[in-house]
Amino acid sequence: MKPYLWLGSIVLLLTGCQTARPLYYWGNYENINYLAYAKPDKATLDVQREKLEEDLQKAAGNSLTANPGLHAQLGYVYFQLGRVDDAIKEFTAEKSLFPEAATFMDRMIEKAQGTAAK
Amino acid sequence: MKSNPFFLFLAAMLLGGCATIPPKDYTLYRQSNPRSILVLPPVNESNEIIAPYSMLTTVTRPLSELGYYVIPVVLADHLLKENGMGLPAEMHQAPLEKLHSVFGADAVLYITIEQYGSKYQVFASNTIVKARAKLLDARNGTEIWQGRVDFVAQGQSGLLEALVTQVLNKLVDQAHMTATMASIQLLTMPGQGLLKGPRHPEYGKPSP
Repeated sequence: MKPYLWLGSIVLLLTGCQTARPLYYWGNYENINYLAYAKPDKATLDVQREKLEEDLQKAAGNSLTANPGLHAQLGYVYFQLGRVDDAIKEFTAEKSLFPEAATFMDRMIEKAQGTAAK
Repeated sequence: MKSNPFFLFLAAMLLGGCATIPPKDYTLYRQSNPRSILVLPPVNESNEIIAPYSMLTTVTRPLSELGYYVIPVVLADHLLKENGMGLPAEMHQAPLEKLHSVFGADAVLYITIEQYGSKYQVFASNTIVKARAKLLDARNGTEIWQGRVDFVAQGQSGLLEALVTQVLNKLVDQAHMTATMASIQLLTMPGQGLLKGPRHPEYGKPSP
């Protein structure tokens, strides 16, 4: 298949037509993750927190499910900022929305609680 | 005209459309039936340092939209690094049962980037992302899928423009955009990519 034929389907996939409506709301998640690796000075923890919180608000405002991983990532940003309680809240939210995350989120919650106990 | 072999060939091409590659055998895939996927940071065979993390941060969306739960990629990467695996190549060597017990994912996606970045020519530049990937059942190690992608995005920028820093910066992002396209093609192309997962409304229906 020629790349440009494929591009058409990608555009359809990304914009979502009637038959393929996206399952989730996608805001800054993937971009901010990329920036955090590629240009860390442009994606400080505070910038990440702001962008991810904005995603959650927008998803909720549009009655859409925020993308899987968003609560977990925001929780991790809170954790790195020392906001342990907020971190645990987000890890728990990820787990209850996506039970597939339970094993990993339990580990993250344990880790956060360990920090809090110190 | 009927007996003209060239015409027959042409007709076959037209009728066949772009479905020149036979669809993959998904027997083992269906047996494994993964719900969640851990994506390890890709091994980098290109010269571009950012390539693995460019590609890693583009796979969550296509995989999630296919109906899988993707273990949050940044958290997984950081946890592996904290556990002494500084490089993707080391992460790819990690015992599967260990990955399964830590992350709880049903399957692990291993990606290797073969080529990443732009090639400048006098009148145009091509941005290429070439990669291969395999999906292993994390519970028993069975390879349930493998695929490859060779994505070329053609740009208009010429060699002279490319010398301007600003344009160069733009081209770096163009490489990331190309990686985004490459990931979508690699993972979602019907008959070649992954099947629809449990969170997709068409999960379990026969693929077109």
